[in-house]
Amino acid sequence: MKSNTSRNVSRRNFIKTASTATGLIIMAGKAPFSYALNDKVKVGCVGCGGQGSFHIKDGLMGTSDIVITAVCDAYGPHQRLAVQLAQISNAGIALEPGQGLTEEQRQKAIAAFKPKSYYDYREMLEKEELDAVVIATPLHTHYQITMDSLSAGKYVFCEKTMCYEIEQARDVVKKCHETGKWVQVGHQRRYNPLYNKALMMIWEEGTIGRIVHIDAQWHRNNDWRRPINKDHKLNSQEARFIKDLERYMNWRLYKESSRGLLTELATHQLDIVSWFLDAVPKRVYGCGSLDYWRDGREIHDSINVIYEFDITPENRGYRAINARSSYQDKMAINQPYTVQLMYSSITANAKKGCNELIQGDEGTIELSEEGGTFYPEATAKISWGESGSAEQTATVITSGGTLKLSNKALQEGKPIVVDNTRSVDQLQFMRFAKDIKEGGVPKANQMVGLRATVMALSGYQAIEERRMVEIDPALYTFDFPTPDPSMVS
Amino acid sequence: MKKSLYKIVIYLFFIILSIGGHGEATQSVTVRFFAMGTEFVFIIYPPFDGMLEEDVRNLCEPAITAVNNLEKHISHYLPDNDLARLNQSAGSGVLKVNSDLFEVIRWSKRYWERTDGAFDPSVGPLLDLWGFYRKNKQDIPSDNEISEALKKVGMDKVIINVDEQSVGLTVPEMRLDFGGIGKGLALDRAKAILKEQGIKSGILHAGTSSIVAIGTPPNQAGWKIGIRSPYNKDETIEEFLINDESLSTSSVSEQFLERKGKKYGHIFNPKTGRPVDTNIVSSTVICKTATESDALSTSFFVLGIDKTKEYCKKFPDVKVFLVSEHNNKLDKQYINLKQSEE
Repeated sequence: MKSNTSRNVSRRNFIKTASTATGLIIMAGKAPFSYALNDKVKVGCVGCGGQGSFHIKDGLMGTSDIVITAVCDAYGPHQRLAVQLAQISNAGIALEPGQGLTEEQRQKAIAAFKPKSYYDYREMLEKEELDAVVIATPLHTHYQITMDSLSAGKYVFCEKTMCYEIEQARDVVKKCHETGKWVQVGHQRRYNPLYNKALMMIWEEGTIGRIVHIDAQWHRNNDWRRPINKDHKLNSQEARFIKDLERYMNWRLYKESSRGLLTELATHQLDIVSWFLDAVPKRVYGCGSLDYWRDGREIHDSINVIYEFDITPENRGYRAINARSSYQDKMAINQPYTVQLMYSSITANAKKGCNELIQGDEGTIELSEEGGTFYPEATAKISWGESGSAEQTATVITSGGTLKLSNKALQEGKPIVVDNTRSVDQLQFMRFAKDIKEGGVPKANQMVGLRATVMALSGYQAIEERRMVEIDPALYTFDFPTPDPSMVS
Repeated sequence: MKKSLYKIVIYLFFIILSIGGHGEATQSVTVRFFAMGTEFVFIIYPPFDGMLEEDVRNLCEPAITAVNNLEKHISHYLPDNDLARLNQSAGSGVLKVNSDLFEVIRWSKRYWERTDGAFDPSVGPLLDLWGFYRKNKQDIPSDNEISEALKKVGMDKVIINVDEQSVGLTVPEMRLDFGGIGKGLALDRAKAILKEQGIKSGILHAGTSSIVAIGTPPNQAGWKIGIRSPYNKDETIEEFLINDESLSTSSVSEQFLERKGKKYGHIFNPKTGRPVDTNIVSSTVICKTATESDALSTSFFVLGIDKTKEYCKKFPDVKVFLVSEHNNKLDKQYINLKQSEE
C-alpha cells in the first residue's frame, strides 16, 4: 500500500540519475552570471556525501526560496558533484528520477549561480555571506559546526541526530537562545503530511482511543556500507581532514563518529513517538550485539530497546478513558499511565521493514514514509439503549434480504490518504526557508533535536552498559524560554 | 409492636430480593460485530443493571466466539478450511470433516429431503452457468448446458457417514455453499449460549434476514418484527410479533441478473436449473429455529404457494408469510399465521 506522500523515489536511483545528468555540465565552466539572489535564503551546504547531496538534489532543488551559494566537503569528489547539483538547484530545475537534463535546462544550469566550494567550513563561514547552513556531516561533527554556525549568526539545518553527546545538545539549545537563531533538525517526518494527519487523527479525532503501546522498527538486510574509491589519492587539502578514507566514508560504522543504529536510523522513529505522545521517556532498557557483519565495524548490527513514557493530563497525547468493566476502580482509572515503546533495528532481515505501529484501545495506526493505514479494533461494539426503551413496543428490526457488509476495513485496514505531490525533503526545506524569511520557528526545532538526542543516547547507554537507564527530566529544562517540541502544522 | 416491625422488615427484604432475583436489567444493550459477510447484532437485556462494556463483552464473548468459529469451518470464502478441502475433493473420495461442517451438512440434507430438493446448498454450478459470478455473461444458457450443470447439483450426490463423520461429494466440480443456512445455525448457537449465560430476553439478527428471539421484551407479548417491501427498503409491508422464535425473510430483489431485458432472481430451482418463476417476491418463515427458518424461507420461493401450504399442513409449527406479484400487484398469503391488525 503506497500513498502519494512521497514521490516514491528510490534514493539510490535518484542519486544515480542526478549524477548522470550533471555529467553534462562538468565541462561547462564558470557561470557567466548569477541568477537574481533577491529574497532568496542564501545557504551553505556542509557535508555533501550521500545525505548532503540528496538534500541538494531533492529538498533544496525543489525549494525556489533557497539559493546555494557555497558547498563544503573535505572530500574533493563530493565537493565537485555538489557544485554541479547546486547549479541545477539554483537554476530552479526540478530533476525527476530517470530524467536527464534537456539542452534548455543545461543552458539554464550553466547560467545559474555557481557556488564556491570549500574544504573547511570555518573558511566558508568567514568568507561567505550566508543566511543559513545545511549540515549533513558525520554525527560527531554536528556539534562544532552547529555551534560555529550559530555563533556566526546563521540559521542551521542539521541532520539528525543533532549531537553525539547529550550535553552538546543542551549547549546547542543554549547557543540558540544566546544568538536568537534556531536549529532545524532533519526529523523530516515532522513535515510529512501523512504523519501530521495521523497525529490529528490521534489527538483531535481520538481515532484510536488511548495509545496503549507502540511498536516500531527499522529492519534492513544489507551491510550499510558506502563504497570507497580505493584508487583515490588524498590531496593536501583533503589530508587535513581525512586520515582514513574508509572511516571518513563509513563513519556510521565506527564508535568515534557514530552511535550506530540508534542515532542513524532509530532517531527518526523515536522522535515520532515522542511527538505523538507529547512526552519524553522516563527510562530505557536495551540490548544489542554485533553478530552478522563482522567486517571491522564497531557498532552493533542488531539492537532492541524499550522506552517507558509516563503520560499525564499535561501531555497532549494523554487520553482519558471511561470505565469499561465494573471491576475497574473508577476513581483511579484516569491517573497517569505508562506507554511502552518497543523498538528494534536489525541489518540482516528486512521482512518487517521500517514502520511504526501506534496501538490504541480503539484501533491501530501503522505508519511508514510510504503510507499509513488505520485498523479499527475488531472487538464487538457495545452501546446502551435508553432505560425502558421504546424498542419494547416499537418495531425492533425490519427483516428483508441480508444486508451485506464488508469487514474489509477490519482485516485490511483503511488507507490514510493525504493530498501531497512533493517529497518530504522538499517540504522540510520549504518550511526551513519560510521560517527564516518570515521569522518563524521550525517544527523540528532544537528542542526536538535535544529530545531525540537524549532518547537515542540514553538507549545507547542502556545497551552499552546492559542496564536500565533512568532519564533525568532536568535534561530538558532551561532557565530561559525554549521552543515547543510538539508543534503541529 | 417490635415483633410486627420485625416482620415488616423481613417482608420488605423479601420483596426487594424477589425484585432483584428476577434480576433483568431495565436497559437493553446492543452488541455488534462482523461475521459471515454481514453484521451480527445482539440486543439483549443483561441479567442485571449496572453492567459496563467489558462485563457485557464477557457475557457475550462465548456466543461471539461460537459464531466466529462456525464461520471458520463452514465459510466457502476461506481457502484453507475443511469445506474448501471437501469442495476441492469433489469426485475423488470422502473426507473426514470437523463437527461444525458435518452438522451443517446434516441439517442441509434434512431440509433438502423435507423440501423435496427445494433447499439445496449445492446449486453453485447453476449460479456459475447463469453468470451470477461472471457478470459479463450475456446469453441465457442452453438446455444442454443446464442439464450438464444439473449433473453436479443435488444433495443426493453427497454421501455422509455418521460414524466416521465423513462426507463425500460424488461428482467432480460439485461444491457446497451454506450461505442459505449458516447464519441461522450461527444464531441458534448464539441463542443457546446466551441463555446459558442467564439472558432471558433478547433479539439477535444477522444482517436482518435471519432473526432469533430469546423470550420476549420485558413485560411485552413479543418482539415486533417488520417485513420490508421487496421493492422499497423504506417501506414495511407487515409486522409480526415473535416470542422465543426465529424469523427469516428471503427477498427476490436482493440480487438479480438481467439477460436480454428480463430480470432473473438469484434463487434457483435445483430441479429445473433455472431461476425460480413462481411470482413469489418475498418469503418470511417463523418457526422454532433460525436454521430451519433460513432453509425454509428460500425453499418456499422454489416450491410456490400451493406446495408451501402442503408443507405447512405437515409441519403446523411453521408459519409463513408469502408475497407474490401478479400484474404489478402484491398479493399476501398468511399460512399458519394471522394477518396483523392494520
